[in-house]
Amino acid sequence: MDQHYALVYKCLQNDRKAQSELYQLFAGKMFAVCMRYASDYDTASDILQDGFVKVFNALSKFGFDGSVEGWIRRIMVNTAIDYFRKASKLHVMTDIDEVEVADSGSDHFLSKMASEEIIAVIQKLPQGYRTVLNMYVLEDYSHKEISEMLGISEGTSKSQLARAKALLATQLKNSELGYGRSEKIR
Amino acid sequence: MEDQKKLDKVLRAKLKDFEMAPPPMLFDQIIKQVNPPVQKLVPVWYRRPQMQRIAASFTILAVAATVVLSELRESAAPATRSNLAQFDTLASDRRDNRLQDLELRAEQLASEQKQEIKDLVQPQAVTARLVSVEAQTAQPNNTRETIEEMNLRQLQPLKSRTAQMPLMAKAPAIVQESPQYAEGPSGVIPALIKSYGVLSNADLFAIAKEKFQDFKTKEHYVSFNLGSLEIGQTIQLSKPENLDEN
Repeated sequence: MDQHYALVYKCLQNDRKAQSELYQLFAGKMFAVCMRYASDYDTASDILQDGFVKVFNALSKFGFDGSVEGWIRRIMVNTAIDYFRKASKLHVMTDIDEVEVADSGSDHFLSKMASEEIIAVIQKLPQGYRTVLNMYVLEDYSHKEISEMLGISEGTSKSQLARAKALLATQLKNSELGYGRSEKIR
Repeated sequence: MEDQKKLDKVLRAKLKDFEMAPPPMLFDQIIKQVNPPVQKLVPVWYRRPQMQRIAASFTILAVAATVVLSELRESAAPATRSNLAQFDTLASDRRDNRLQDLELRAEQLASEQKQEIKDLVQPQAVTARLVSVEAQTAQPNNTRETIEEMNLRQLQPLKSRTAQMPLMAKAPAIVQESPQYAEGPSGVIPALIKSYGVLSNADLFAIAKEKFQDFKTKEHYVSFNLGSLEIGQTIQLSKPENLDEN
């Protein structure tokens, strides 16, 4: 039994204190999720707000059969997808044949970077790339699930992921070079 | 491919459980959306100015209608009162007629009985004689004892007495002692009172007072049942004080 079930029960009784506690418990993690999906801080804030409103309104639908965090995370991801779908910012059209291969050694640069920096690099990716990358790599969705959720083909999902990784590697290299330069100057 | 997997692994390690400080005061905005404050019930005419005008005109109409209706009622009232007065007059006329009929009938009966009494009884017996049943049965008719004699003989021990006499009638009546209070040997003592020609209850009380003069002691309590024998009506009057006063 999840240790947060009691908190959810209290929230279901409109306990303001419990609602605050639940928010404080997961807001940090969920804001990081929102920042990964969004292109800027304000958009991430909007997604977080909408997501938590959905969480509190849908608490009665929580089945008490899984982790509370996982449930809230799924709601956040869906909220982010809905947000960009409404804003027509999801452009995932590239076919798998056109995928470029990511440069090798990007993991090396990545491991040296702070999480905030990585998020900043991810935020620079196109919305479609960013979404697929987040869903596949960090949320563990399969290409089939991604294709269903985004309304695209599995092939497109795969190509988007490959492109996202290639672009990410390039950007990481650039930021590493910049970082190296700044180190040398210093 | 290996590089791809490594990249995924590093990304997960760096970002999977990463936390960032959410914007301040965001929770308050969320809670406002989740639990919207309950709106106070405000009458519609407070919210919309045009409704104020409509409400005001309704109020004026209601006041005007009340005034007009009250005036209409006032104008209708005299007619009703006159009708009532007319009805009262008719009712009193009917009552008077009925009383006149009753009086005529009573007079008729009285005169008939007076004649019979004249034929049967001595002239001095006609003037108020109360005779006990015991006395009637034990003694011959022409030697009935007077009420004074009866009081002296039997009724003095009684603590309560009831006289039943005709109400506004000239017909014969029965004067009766209450048997339940009688301590004397005779018990019920009815007596036939001949017609006195009385016209009112006051006259009857006067006669009763005269006849029960001897009962006006501290120990005795006298009450009268006044009723017309002809119509079977009986009125209970318990006024020993009145008798004392009179």
